[in-house]
Amino acid sequence: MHIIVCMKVTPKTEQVKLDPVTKTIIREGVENEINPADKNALEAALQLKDKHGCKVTVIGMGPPIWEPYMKLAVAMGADNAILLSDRAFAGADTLATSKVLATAIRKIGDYHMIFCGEESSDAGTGHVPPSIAEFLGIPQITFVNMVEIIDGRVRARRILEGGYEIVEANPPVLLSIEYGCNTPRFPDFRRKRYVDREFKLTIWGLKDLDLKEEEVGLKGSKSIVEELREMKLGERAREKITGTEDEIAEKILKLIQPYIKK
Amino acid sequence: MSREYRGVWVYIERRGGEIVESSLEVLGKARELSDKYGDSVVGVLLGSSGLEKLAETVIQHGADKIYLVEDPILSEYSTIPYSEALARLITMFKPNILLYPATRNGRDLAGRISAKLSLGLSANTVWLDVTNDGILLAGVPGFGGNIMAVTKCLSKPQMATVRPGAFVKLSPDPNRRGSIEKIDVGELPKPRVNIIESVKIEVEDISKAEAIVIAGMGVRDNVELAKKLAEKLGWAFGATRPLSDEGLVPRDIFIGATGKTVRPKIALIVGVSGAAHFISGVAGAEKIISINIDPEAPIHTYSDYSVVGDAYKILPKILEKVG
Ligand SMILES: Cc1cc2nc3c(=O)[nH]c(=O)nc-3n(C[C@H](O)[C@H](O)[C@H](O)COP(=O)(O)OP(=O)(O)OC[C@H]3O[C@@H](n4cnc5c(N)ncnc54)[C@H](O)[C@@H]3O)c2cc1C
Ligand SMILES: Nc1ncnc2c1ncn2[C@@H]1O[C@H](COP(=O)(O)O)[C@@H](O)[C@H]1O
Repeated sequence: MHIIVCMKVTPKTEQVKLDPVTKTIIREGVENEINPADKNALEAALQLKDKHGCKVTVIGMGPPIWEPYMKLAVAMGADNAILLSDRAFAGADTLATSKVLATAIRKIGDYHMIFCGEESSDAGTGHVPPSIAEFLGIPQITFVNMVEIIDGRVRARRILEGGYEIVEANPPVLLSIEYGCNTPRFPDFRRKRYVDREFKLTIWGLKDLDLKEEEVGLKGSKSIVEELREMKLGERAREKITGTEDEIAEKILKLIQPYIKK
Repeated sequence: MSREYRGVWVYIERRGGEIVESSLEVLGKARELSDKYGDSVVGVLLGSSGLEKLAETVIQHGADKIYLVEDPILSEYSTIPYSEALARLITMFKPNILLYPATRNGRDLAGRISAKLSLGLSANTVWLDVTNDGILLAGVPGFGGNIMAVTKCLSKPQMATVRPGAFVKLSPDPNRRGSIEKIDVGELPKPRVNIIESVKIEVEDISKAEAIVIAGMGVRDNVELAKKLAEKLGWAFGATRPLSDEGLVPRDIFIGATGKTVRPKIALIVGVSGAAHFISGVAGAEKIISINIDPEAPIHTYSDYSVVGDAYKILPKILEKVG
């Protein structure tokens, strides 16, 4: 089986700040990482590779600075990586993003499963996976935290509010994988050497895909950002409670006393 | 104003014979938006049969009209038939706005519709407003809730998924009247994902708790301690996502951007670092007391009262004193 993993690179959430004057995101000095949920998606694919000998291809739509992260995925165990990179792709909403990814996946052709992360840590929409599935006309299983291949069928556990479902589908099928559902492996030393010396990342631009400029990037988007606002996540007084453990407990008790239910 | 597209629609999520609560929260907000620019609120209910009773509930919570689609294929949620039925309704009636609860199935459906009909979709919104011309402004939290992007859709219907807990439902008005219309959307495609087993896990709903103890990875070696304190105080018990990823607490009690939103009068938060993805779920608490061993942990910044200390040592003392 061939599994395609959709992977994006995101800035580390905690480091992202808004410039109070220009109201734009300050990008300087912010570290990037593979989107956390996508790391879990890649790990889930690699576990199936270990077990069944699946082929794993990683695909991402983003700027050239994503290159080392795509290569990192290969060092972790992916067989191939494709970066979809073109100035025309910039500024895409989830619709335009999904369209480019789906078109590239169609071009790759022989796939059985597509893995996405449940959501990205920056945009956090979770809408890209179902949109890709719709563009490809294939079924989807979202919010999966366990996946198996049984007699050529895909079986997955889908987490819902207040419970879960065990579901089955025939490939091709798209799955979105839950953040934190497994422990992503470290890059393999020998694979890392292979990536550094031999591996060549495939890069596709607009001209490599069967798409018009109006369909991609900002032009192909149907939702736009009007303005960015800082959210008051609520910085508070931070009155320090100090003392011996006994004194601290006593002070906390005083604070919570009015709320204790007898 | 273009009157070709009319109505503020809400996709009413249903599980079995019950309406998912967050749909009613969205409906309450839809009522407000619709009144602001002078339109009507329409609830959309899909299922196999017997939806009228649920439709009445939806009307009492603010809808003017309900569209029902009944088909045995729609008995339980499944992406392919549900998205096809809803897409056909949209094409037939052309709503101006379509809102979904940003539950797992709500997002599963909305993302599919966006691609099917090439429509803009704002995600997980926590703030909504509308202009006098019926243009929807939707606040999308980014980076775990650090930043909010105010977005606009360039297509109609303008769509958004709405974060559960972001708005409150209206109290039901038994005198509210509305119309119920059954719509025939034609033959629907069959599901292509089979549900082998569907498991319900009953846990107490913490989202309405007045007081709560919240545990994080800092107390992973003795989660029971925090839980016991919650019990003794008569408070709800919640946790961070990693604790639930590790299987140490149930899935439905984790708080944050991808979990529950709580608005208690008081929260005692122990062994939690205070990541943005977590904080956005408790930001509405009236009072926050936190205990974290690391003086640099961000949680202190988000606390009204903060303790730099060892929860394993302080919690037993509190337990002792509560008696
Ligand atoms: C897409 C995405 C979505 C996410 N959604 C959520 C979400 O909805 N909810 C959520 O919670 N997280 C979510 N996360 C994860 C989030 O980013 C953080 O990783 C998580 O909140 C950290 O949990 P924690 O504070 O329990 O653990 P840690 O960050 O490991 O913090 C443990 C803390 O305990 C302290 N500690 C250690 N020992 C003691 C002791 N003896 N006494 C007192 N304190 C002690 C440490 O100093 C530390 O600060 C999400 C992440 C991503 C990428
Ligand atoms: N630009 C992108 N390149 C590759 N995959 C993406 C991209 N954007 C989103 N995805 C995939 O879609 C998932 C959900 O993203 P989102 O809908 O943005 O929350 C991610 O976890 C990725 O697997």
